[in-house]
Amino acid sequence: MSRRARLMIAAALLLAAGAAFAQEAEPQRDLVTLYSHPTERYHVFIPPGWRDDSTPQFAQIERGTTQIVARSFPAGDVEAALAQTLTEFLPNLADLTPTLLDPVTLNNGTWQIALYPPEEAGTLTGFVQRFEDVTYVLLMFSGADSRPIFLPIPADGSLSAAVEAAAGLAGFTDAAVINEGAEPVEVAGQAYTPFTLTQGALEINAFARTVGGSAFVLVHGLPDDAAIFSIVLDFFITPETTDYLYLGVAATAIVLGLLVFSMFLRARALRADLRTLQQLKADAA
Amino acid sequence: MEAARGAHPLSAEMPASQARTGTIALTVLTILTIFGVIFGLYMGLVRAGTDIDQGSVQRIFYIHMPSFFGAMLAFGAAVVGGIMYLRTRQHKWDTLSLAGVEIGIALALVNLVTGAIWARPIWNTWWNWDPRLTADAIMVLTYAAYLMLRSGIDNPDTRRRFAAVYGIIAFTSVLMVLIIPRIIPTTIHPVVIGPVFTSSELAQGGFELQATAGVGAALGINFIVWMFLIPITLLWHRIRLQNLADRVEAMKTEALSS
Repeated sequence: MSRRARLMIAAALLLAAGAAFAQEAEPQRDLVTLYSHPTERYHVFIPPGWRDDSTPQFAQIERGTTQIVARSFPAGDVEAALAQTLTEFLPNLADLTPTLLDPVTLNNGTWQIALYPPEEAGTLTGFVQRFEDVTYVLLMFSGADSRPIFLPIPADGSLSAAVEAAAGLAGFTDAAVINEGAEPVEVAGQAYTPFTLTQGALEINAFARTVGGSAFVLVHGLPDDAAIFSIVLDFFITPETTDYLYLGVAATAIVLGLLVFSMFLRARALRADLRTLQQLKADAA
Repeated sequence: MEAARGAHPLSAEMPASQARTGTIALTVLTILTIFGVIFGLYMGLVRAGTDIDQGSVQRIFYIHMPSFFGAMLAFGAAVVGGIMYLRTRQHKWDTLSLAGVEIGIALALVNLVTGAIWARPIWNTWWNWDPRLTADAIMVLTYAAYLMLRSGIDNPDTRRRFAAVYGIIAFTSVLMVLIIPRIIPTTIHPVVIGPVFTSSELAQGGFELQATAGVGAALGINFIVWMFLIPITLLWHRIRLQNLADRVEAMKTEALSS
């Protein structure tokens, strides 16, 4: 090959390389703090201001008197997973039996809330999701008696009605909204509308926001505990896609293997032809 | 006529020492490529962290994207070959063009198939008629037509002239694949490299790599392997194969005429 030809090929290579690497610097995204389980493929968002006490076996975060743990259980039913989580983390409350609310479908799956009866030390609420035969449990213990509940927004579309319904589920069956605060409260980057409810002489506070067709209501307690909603909403599970990776690698090997094999076969046939032609030429000479 | 141009495979045979050097160089390059592929796979499949949004299938990316640029390089070689053939009418440039198209199609198919396999779990479909995907499919079909049309022309001079012109024009399909997601706002195929001129949020970094360590290294090594080592090695082998085919053809012609 001449020098000019080599230069032309080099120019083509440089052109292709230039196109591939002509990158513009992209702005760096803010990275959120995540707990990622090393083998169980689930990830838990850790809101700012929460202490991370997680271990490789489970996620555990705390803020004040509120504690949240996340665990996964292969197969098993929801009640069994909840019971095991409670036994491991709060053995003194292991005898409690939860009431399971109707499942609510959010962007990241279908969740079921487990409401445990209130204890003197605080309230216990569980969130459960089943995905690919694995049960994922988020258990929240609130020393401030916060009760996080999400439920479909009632037909009239009113957040007040949703707050009253949530309060009813939390045990305040006759509570009625008397005030809806104008100034939202921000928790974990999300704005919650404060509400005040009364049930007889008892005054109850609540914080609520809507997400899609659902209302997220924190009944009673501290507004900071509404961070559990961000944790539930940002909880995600890495899909199991290894089979597709193997398929992709196999397909690549097949395509390139066929090309190389066809070149090998063609070369072998041509060499055989060449030998025959050389033999013929020699015989003719 | 070809002999008069000094490009006949029989008359243009290399000296034995030069041929031997070439064979050694190609052998070294082939071994380097094989090790490069193995190392690239190790980096992409083992060393690079798993993307927490997509899982393991994201690792296809280490083959999918560089293989497109490898195809682009091969198709680019076909353009160079086509231009030079039209200028010089030397047979070797046509050989480069043909080799470029054949290797380019293989790498473009790798790109297309791995993309479809990636899309199945991530987009929940093997295929959709997104502008970039459609342009990619058109590109592969355009070059497949090159091979078919080329083989349908008997006159060698006409065939090479046609192939040269077709190979140059066909490269616009490669450019379309690069340009479309940058200008069409409805595309869902993300632009991973280079600037974007559309308001599509998906095109502007929809394919975010939230993987852990080793992603950059795996991508860089696989770029070297798939964009340079594989296409250049295969091109070289394909050119040698074509030279052998031409030599056999010339000997056949010689044997028949004598």
